[in-house]
Amino acid sequence: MKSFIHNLLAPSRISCLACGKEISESVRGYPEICIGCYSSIPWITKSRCNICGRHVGCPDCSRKDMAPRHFLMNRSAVAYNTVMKEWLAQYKFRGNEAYQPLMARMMAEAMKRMLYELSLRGGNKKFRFDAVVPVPISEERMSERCFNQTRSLAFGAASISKASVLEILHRRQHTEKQSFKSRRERLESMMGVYTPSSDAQHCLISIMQKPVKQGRFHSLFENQKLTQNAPIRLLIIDDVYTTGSTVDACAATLQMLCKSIGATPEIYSLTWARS
Amino acid sequence: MKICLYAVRFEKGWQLRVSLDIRVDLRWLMMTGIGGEVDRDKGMMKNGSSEAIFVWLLSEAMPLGWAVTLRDFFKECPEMDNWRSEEWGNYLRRELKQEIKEEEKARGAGSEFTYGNRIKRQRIRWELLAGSSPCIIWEREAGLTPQGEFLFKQDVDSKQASGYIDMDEDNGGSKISNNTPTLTDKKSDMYSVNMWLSVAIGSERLSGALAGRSLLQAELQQLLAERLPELAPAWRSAVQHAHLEGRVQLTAGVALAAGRRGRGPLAARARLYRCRRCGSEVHRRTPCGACGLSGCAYCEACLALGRSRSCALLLRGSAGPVAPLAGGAAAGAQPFTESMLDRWGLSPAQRAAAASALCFLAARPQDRAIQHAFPLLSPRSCSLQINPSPQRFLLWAVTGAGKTEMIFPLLQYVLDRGGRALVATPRRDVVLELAPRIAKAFPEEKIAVLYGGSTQRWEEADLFLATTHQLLRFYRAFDLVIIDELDAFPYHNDPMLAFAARECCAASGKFVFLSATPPLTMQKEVKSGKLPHAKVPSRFHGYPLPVPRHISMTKLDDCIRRQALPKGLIEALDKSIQRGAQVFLFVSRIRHIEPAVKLLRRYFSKISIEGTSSKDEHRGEKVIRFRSTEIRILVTTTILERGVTVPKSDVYILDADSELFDEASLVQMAGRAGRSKDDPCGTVWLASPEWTKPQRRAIAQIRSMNAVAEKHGYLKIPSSKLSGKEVSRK
Repeated sequence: MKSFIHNLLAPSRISCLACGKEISESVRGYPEICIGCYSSIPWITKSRCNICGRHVGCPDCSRKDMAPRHFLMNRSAVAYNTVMKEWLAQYKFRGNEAYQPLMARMMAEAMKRMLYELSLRGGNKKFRFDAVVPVPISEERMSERCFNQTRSLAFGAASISKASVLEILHRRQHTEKQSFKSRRERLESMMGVYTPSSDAQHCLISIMQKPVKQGRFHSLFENQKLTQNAPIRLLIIDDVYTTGSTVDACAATLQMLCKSIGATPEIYSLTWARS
Repeated sequence: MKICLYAVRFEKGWQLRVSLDIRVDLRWLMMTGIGGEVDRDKGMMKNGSSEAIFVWLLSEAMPLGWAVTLRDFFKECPEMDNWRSEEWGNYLRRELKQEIKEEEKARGAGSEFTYGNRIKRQRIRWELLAGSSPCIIWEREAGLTPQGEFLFKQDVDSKQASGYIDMDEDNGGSKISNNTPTLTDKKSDMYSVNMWLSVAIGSERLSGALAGRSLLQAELQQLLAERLPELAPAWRSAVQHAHLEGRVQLTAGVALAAGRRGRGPLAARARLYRCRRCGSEVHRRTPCGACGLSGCAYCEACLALGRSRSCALLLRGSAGPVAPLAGGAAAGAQPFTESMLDRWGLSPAQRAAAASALCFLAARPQDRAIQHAFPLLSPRSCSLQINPSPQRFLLWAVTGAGKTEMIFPLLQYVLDRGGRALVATPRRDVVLELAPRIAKAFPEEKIAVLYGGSTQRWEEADLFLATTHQLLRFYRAFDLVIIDELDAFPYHNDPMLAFAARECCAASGKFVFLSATPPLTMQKEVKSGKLPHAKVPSRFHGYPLPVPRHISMTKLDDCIRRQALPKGLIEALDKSIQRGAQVFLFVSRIRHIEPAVKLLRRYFSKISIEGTSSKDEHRGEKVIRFRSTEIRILVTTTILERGVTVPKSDVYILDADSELFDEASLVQMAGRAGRSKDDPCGTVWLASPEWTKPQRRAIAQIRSMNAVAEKHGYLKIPSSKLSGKEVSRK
């Protein structure tokens, strides 16, 4: 009886999503996890490899026999360590959608960092993406898992920028889950898997035509992409970047697509984890 | 997933059915000409079954949850005979009004992607969700209508991967059985006999494999992959056939709890969804790519076993015919005899308890006195078809009484009568520990050991040993369910366990609970005589339980800060070490372990002292070293409160007044001492600043058990010699 009244009067305690313990204090902006779990997140704040965003020295990008990449660079929110693997597994494979807002927010943070980095590079001019493109899943996976986790991550990333989410890629056939393959098998299996969706061209053209306000003092004309030769900036979103083959294949398709409507693309990639 | 829904008019009335493969249903109607139900036992049509007159296809693919709701709550009315397509369409929309409203709200809320606060409702497009308007597909006189024929001859190629059997004869050969001959080319015979035969064979095998199980679609695929791989490409057709035969139930993972589906003012109250698999309430809704809804609910409680959703297909196989277990006219159902107990070598106390339990098992159903619903479950959830309360029995055995050996006669009894038995334990390591012991006791029985990741998940056996979660995969399957360590279950206040245990027990099955520390509610039931039980108050070696003594000590945090332990504690520890005993030192928090170990090492530098906890990777190894007396003092948390047997040990419980140590926990920890024959009188010390209620109750419980044991003459020496009331005042 005493404990019953105690429970009524005590403030409600929720348990941490990741570790299950009661949250005694949480981090501002991250109400789902306890402070212990938050501090264990391996954020990648500085990437050592300029191209693929690895946080350690990168043997891949300096390989001589590397085929030219179709995207310019990749950045990731976190390193794909054991804890992050567990989180993604819970979300993606178990289907525990309680992780969705948490991971979307992590993408937003990574997006902020990426925009900042790119703005610095471009000489302090504010950097904008025109569209965010999530990597699609096949229909079979969709009916099995019932949601596309990359899509949620894309919306999370897009939430802090003015870019719209365009689902203009379609996954043609279902290949066996990548997680079971070796590096070489992954690279080879990616041929021709991603194709543009039926309304892809239409979406891209309407994006390009959208006038963009960039502050009161800039003229509108400056920003219309339809005036030729302004590159269209696309951001591909995926959950894990291992070899980059998935992102590369998507980027190749996007390149083809943009060429077909006469636009020059600049393709970047933002992934949740980098392994 | 999306499923097909159709309405069929029999001579005696209307019925709504769902179908995974409409072609199987149509063929069934055409072939048998009779759409009635088959009586399983007699193999004939049930009395009163009648011919089908016509069949309306209501939706070729609609969200499964909706289809199942419509089917389960269907009430026919006479006007339906004259309805046309539009009226059927309106009927569907009308019946699903609440669901449509919820769905529109879910869409308007836009789930996680919008930023507004106002929840608008966004109208759904019926055609996208449920397909085109209803049409009639079969009539008794005319046979298949054009739409019906179209459905029947549907191109299977696209569907082939997803489980439909290929009806096209040109592809030759059946997909199910390699033994049936290849087909002839009769195009006019739309659906050849051979194809039907192979579907029937597949359905037979599937029903056998599914008997007593409750599986989601993904789990079914795993089972098929392991046991019936030839069925995997055509599972839909086989399952539908089995369903039509009445051997497999098709239902949805998450469904509305009963009593919420009224009309009128009360219907507007929040509707409660429950997971059919585990019985917990479901609140979480998300957009779903498989059924097209924006508000498809899924259950978080049993998520570890796969997602049970509103649109998830849940298959339940009916258990095969069971030989009547107890009483009745069946041969071999004698009441138990004493000789059944002889082969097990039980102590007198164990014998008496086992005899009592066997009496319970042998009793006929009409002998039971009072039925009681499981206390944690609301009786209103009748649409979930909760098992009416099976009989329960409690074996209240103290720590070290040899619980495992006591259940062997019970298992033997059930197995001899051809029944199925299940032993459920809370943790995986307990399962792994019990498995070899049970295997040794029943060398000729096939035993399936189930836990997360076990390779025997889909095997058939008569004796099962499983962890809690695995119970969710069974349905009315067992004649005897033994639940070990009831109070140690991870969610012992969670109704999910109660639900799962109840659902996996057959309608006429029985429960036996084993525990040294049953929960208070059960203890009360025992006192008031409502729960049949048997106490085993003495340990196997016949010596009484050591009664704990008290040492006055401040909080361990303070001791650590001051870097000093009280003299009383050190003296007691010294005595234990001197007499050569191993020392269990329980602390309440993991963060106490390291500092306590360091502190103790300062006092006892000559012996090996280690600490372990659930976070310790080397725990297993340390326990082994502790058993071999290499480590003399082991500082640990409650992770070791159960199951560990170390001969010649004493137990010290620091911070005994902590809220983390309840009565059951204290009794279990105290139970680590005095386990072996050679040293039956270990000492137990409770260290705390003052006496608290749990401590007093734990001691009272131990004393009362000793008293009962003595009364029955189980003790070799009188307990008064051992139970000291000394309290060392410090």
